[in-house]
Amino acid sequence: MHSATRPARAPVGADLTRRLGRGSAAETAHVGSQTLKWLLRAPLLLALLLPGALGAYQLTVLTLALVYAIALVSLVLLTGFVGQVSLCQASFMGLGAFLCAALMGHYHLSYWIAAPIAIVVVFCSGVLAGLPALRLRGLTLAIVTLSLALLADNFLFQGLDWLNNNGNHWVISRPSVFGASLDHPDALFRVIFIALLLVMLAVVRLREGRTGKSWYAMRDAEIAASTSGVSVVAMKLLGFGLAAAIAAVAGVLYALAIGVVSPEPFNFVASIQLLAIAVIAGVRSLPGALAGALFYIILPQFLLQFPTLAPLTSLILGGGLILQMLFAPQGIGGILDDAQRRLFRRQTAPASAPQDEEGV
Amino acid sequence: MPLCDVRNVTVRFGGVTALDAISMEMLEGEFVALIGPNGAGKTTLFNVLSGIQQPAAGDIIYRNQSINALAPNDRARHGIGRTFQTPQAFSSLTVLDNLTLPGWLPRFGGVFADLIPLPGAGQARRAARDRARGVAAVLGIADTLDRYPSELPLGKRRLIELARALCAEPQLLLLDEPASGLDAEETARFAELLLRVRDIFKLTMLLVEHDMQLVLSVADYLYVLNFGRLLAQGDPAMVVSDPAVVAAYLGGDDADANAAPLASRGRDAQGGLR
Repeated sequence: MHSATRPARAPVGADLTRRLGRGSAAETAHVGSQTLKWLLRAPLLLALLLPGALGAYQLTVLTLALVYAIALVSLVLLTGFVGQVSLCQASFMGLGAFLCAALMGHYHLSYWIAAPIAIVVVFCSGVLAGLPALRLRGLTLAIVTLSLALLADNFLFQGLDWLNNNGNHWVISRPSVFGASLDHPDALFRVIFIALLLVMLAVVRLREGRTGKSWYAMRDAEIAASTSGVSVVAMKLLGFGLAAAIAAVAGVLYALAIGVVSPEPFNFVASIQLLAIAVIAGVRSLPGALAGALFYIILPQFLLQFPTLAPLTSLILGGGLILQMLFAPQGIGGILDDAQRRLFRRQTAPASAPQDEEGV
Repeated sequence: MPLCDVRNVTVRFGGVTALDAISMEMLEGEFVALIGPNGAGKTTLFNVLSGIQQPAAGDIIYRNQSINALAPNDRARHGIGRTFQTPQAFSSLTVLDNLTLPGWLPRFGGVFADLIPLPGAGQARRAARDRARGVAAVLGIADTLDRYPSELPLGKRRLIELARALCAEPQLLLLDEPASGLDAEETARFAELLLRVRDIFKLTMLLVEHDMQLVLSVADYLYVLNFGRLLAQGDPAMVVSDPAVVAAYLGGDDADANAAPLASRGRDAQGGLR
């Protein structure tokens, strides 16, 4: 398991550690998976012990932060890997939550059946929402996705009676896993923590696979990618679809965590804030997504204790964006990766020595 | 039977006719060169061939079939590869990953293949990497495979660009000014390399180049493009002594850089080249 100390010849690990050792500052994405392995080991234990150590309130806040970490991972995938902008990720999250709740409410489906159906439907709507990206880019695309967010909020979450329970909130009755009711905050935390890990692992596997390499190629030089054989149409739509599906995972988990589904958390302001947080956190970094989510959820909770400061959330987000642009262009994730690179440098130095490995 | 047949291709940008009913042929195994002053439409023709630019009229026939409707990635799959005038490296991938990409593309269901590693899943990647290493060895860039393209000088990046195109296993390779910025000695070595590459990979080549030394040393057949029209074609040595070709190079606004070698070529069969 200790990939950082593997011998240099070990195939994938060596590749990663060699990159790490050389420390190309521009490439935080490759380094991120090392951080992820590191995140997986110690904190996994910590996470299993954590519920006992925290009070119910802190645990609920932390659980919600994990849900938003998944939502941010969807933006890391779409913006960081595929290179596309979306100002409607909170809408996909909301669509997932509302569909799940509506399927449960109307057809009395179990949560474990309703949630996957919702995710698949949102994947399809994400592919549709990606169609404008085949023609548009940059600011124009951002505005189109923003208008999609407004449409979803006004006509679906607030306007479609079937979806929003005739304007009333949906109340989710939480299911059980292996006999443990998810009404219990400890069990809820663990389920959502595992979901976050699975989502991150899946995204890392995609990134290291042919899908991710094609996304990177397309992001770096779209025309050259297409003349190298990458189907730009398929890869962009796949990126939008998968990002929407991951946001929907966050949505159905949100429904589970909060127990109530209402339109407010999924309006266009939430989408803009999500993208702002993703940028502050480092839009190419998965660990950054986790850090960003903790910041995004815990900051307002903290500010709540000082009622005069509560309206400052947006201001602090804006200030954070400016600070990030000035001092940490790679975001929090970049800072994390830098720190981790220094931490692992001693172990990886020998691995970076053999340069002849690629000789033919 | 030509490998690729360009039939009456016309491209217009607004009121400007960039290509005016251009017809040309590339025979299998032939080294074809295309010259012309800046703005003559050379890169536009490349874009039409590789599917980036749709022609207003005309057909591209490749292996006896019209490929007008094919997207750039489908043309790559059918064996049309190209390089770009400015190297377009995938900057966040290592050189090895840059070269592996064309041989290791997502297929239908690729997401699941990436998520769930089945036995033998590494095979395709290994094959693509082996090819990448082989191509890099031929081009003499095996020592760069571990680096990122941005860390390398322009000359190396041009070779990486060429290597990536070769890794897609093309039959028809379009080279857009691959030697610009090289000095005379480097250009001579590059000409040798191109001929070797052509023989090893059994390619049909179409070369756009300003450097007449390079064109004359590699090309079997030469087309001259001027203001979107074919000015001349034929055996390279004959064509460059054609008075109309010489005049086009001397007459254009931005032709000065190209005019000197060509003009001297016209007057003096061997001597005046750079």
